[in-house]
Amino acid sequence: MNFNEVQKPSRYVGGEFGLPDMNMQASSTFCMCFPDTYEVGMSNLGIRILYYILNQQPQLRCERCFAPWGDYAQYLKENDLPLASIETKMPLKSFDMLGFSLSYELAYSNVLYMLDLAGIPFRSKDRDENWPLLIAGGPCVVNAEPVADFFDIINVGEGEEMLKNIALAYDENKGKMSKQEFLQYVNDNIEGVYVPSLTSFEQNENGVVTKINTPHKTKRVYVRNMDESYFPDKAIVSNIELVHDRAVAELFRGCANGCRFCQAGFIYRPVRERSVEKMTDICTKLIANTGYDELSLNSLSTGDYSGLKQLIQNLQPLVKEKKVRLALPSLRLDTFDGEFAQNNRLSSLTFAPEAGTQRLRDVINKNVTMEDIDSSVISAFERGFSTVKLYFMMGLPTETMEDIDGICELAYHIKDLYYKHRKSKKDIKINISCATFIPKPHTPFQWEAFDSYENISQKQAYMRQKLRNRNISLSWHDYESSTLEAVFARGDRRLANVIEQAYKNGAKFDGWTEHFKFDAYMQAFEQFGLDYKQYLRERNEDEILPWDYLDMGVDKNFLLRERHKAYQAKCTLSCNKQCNACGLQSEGLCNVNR
Amino acid sequence: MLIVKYTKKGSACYVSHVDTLRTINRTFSRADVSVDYSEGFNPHMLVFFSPPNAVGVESECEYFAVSTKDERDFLNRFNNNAPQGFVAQKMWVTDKNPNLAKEITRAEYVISGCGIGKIKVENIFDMPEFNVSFSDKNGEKTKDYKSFVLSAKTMGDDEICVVLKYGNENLRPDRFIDGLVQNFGLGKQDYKITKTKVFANDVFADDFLDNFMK
Repeated sequence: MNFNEVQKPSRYVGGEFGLPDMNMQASSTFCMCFPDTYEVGMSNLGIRILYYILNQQPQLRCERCFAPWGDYAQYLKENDLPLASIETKMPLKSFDMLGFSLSYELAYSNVLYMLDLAGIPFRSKDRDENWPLLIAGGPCVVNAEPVADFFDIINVGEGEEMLKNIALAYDENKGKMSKQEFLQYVNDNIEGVYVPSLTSFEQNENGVVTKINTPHKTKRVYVRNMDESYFPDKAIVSNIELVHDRAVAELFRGCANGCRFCQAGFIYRPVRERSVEKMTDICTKLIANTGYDELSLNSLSTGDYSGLKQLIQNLQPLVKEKKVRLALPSLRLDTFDGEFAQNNRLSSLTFAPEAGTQRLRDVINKNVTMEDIDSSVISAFERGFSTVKLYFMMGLPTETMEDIDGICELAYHIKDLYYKHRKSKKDIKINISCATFIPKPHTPFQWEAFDSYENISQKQAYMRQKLRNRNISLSWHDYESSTLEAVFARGDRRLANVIEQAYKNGAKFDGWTEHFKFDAYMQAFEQFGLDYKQYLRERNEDEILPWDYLDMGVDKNFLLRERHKAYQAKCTLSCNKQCNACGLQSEGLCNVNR
Repeated sequence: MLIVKYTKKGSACYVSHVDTLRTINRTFSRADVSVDYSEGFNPHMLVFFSPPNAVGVESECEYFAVSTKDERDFLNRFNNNAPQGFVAQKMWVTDKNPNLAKEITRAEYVISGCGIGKIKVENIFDMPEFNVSFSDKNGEKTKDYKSFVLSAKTMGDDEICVVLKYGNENLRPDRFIDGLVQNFGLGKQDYKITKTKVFANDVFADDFLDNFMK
């Protein structure tokens, strides 16, 4: 194969360090597919974990495949070659099972792009036993209805045990059951499995769901004991630079803070920590086995890890002798530690106040006060930092121009603090990034409307005007791609036609600004007589939502209570401080109940 | 200081020079080789490489020099921890840095592909110029590369062997093939290129390093 015309051939050829033995005899084959580029997919921790778990089973061989960049896709098409796995170059259509990780809604068109290049029919109903079984997992499956028709099985929750059990059940029943019998079997026997073909929806003329016909609610599964669950102390070390090119260790799952806009804060509950001893062991082995010089301590809110100080202490030998840099992503403003930042040679700091006024921060339950913001940035400035990145959202429920004004004032306030407390001679640089709020399923804001183009434009124009300052730069997400994400996030089955047509119209790599084609979707909506704005509207509280067949463990009534508290700008305390009775307390896993 | 000769074959030949630096550094870490670091805000391992190899060209003759005293069983430790295709072959121990990037100036390539031996590549030296047109980020260009071709011989119907300038003054072997296509009417196809030897002026690099030890 000649790769001279292809950018970054290392994306496709494999040969990385850390690959399991691919010559072992296995009775069933699984290909882990990620609908984005190699550099993005290889950074995904979920895939790293599942890849090794499946390869540990003697019956199974698990390989990888990522969405090829356009130049390689063209090469495949011109030479009539089907998309194949990296490890053994086996065509995807020859695998027994394909697992797709759905991490963000804008990757949906790339699922079809990969299936198309592989020569596999898109719809589950068009694939019999002779085609691979298509399984989806990842965060988007908490409402995978827009892509449900493409998949045979959807895994809801944490995949460690579930995916292994499905793959082993497949291996055991291969050739003995029809596809339909197998789907029924996993639906009845494996927790967390959702089989879209066994569920149907009744909708009225406005698209509102009036009835869900389903054999049973699908219960989300999750790991109960993190110390006992498998975590790889190795990784496939890529030969090219990844988006997150570093060792990753997972401190805990779930988040205690309950920010009302944040889907991860609700769908990964309850908080389950790994012990400091276990983490120290994982981190030490990961560095020894991968050779990475950066180690990220991941979680949804790393500052909340109860053993953080002790762990960082335990990792000092790695930092000193092996020159390993520690990264703590997702530090909250109320847990920021300036000393840590300084010791780890960080060059810029990122904070996420999310909203410009205390009232709106209370609405979204961010639980961050002006004092937290002041003390964090002062502590950073006193240690010589001169660049701050601030994340905000606009279009939040109850938002007014006063809140937008608050963002601007906060920026100027931080600038003033810098010139009072700075140690650096440089001028301050404040980068403000403003996303558009997208209501997501299973959050207290799942009923909210997505803000209109007119409103958002007005707010952006106001900020641009007000933040005209050489020390402050302002950026925001493109409204059209946020719109599409909002449509898919709360979408229903009717969108499968739209996604398929949009792909035919040229949509792929929608998450990449340079590839995003909103028109491809607009035409597709028109062709199927669907109004995309229908998906952006506020939902009635008594309406059946397309994802109501899922039992996430969090009560819908709790979400409603939180929504009503939001409208009164009342905060709910962190689960680490008091139990808020979200529905999961009876599981006995929460810290505060112990 | 340890100087190591290694090969880059199979998937490894697609690893670019910058990525190779990182890959070799990580291999040292995994092999637990204690390498000296630079001083400064962002300390890095003191490793020095021979000139960059073109992406897609298999190589039997890459070199690096690494500042370390940890030479015990080095080749095995390196090879057990390197990605596929990176294989250390030979090593020299010295107390000075040979500056491979500067000293190595020529490379020998074996190029094979159907019919490439039939074009009489030796005739290149009878031509007044060896012009090659190519496009880079600045647009279309034509350049006379005659002085960059130091030797050329036919090895059979389907193979040739050439020595080209390499390093600071460099003619990439794929561009040399483009030149053969443009000047000799060679058919366009996927030619397999292997870099077989590099030289410090006209001295084979292994011999150069043997002498350097003395």
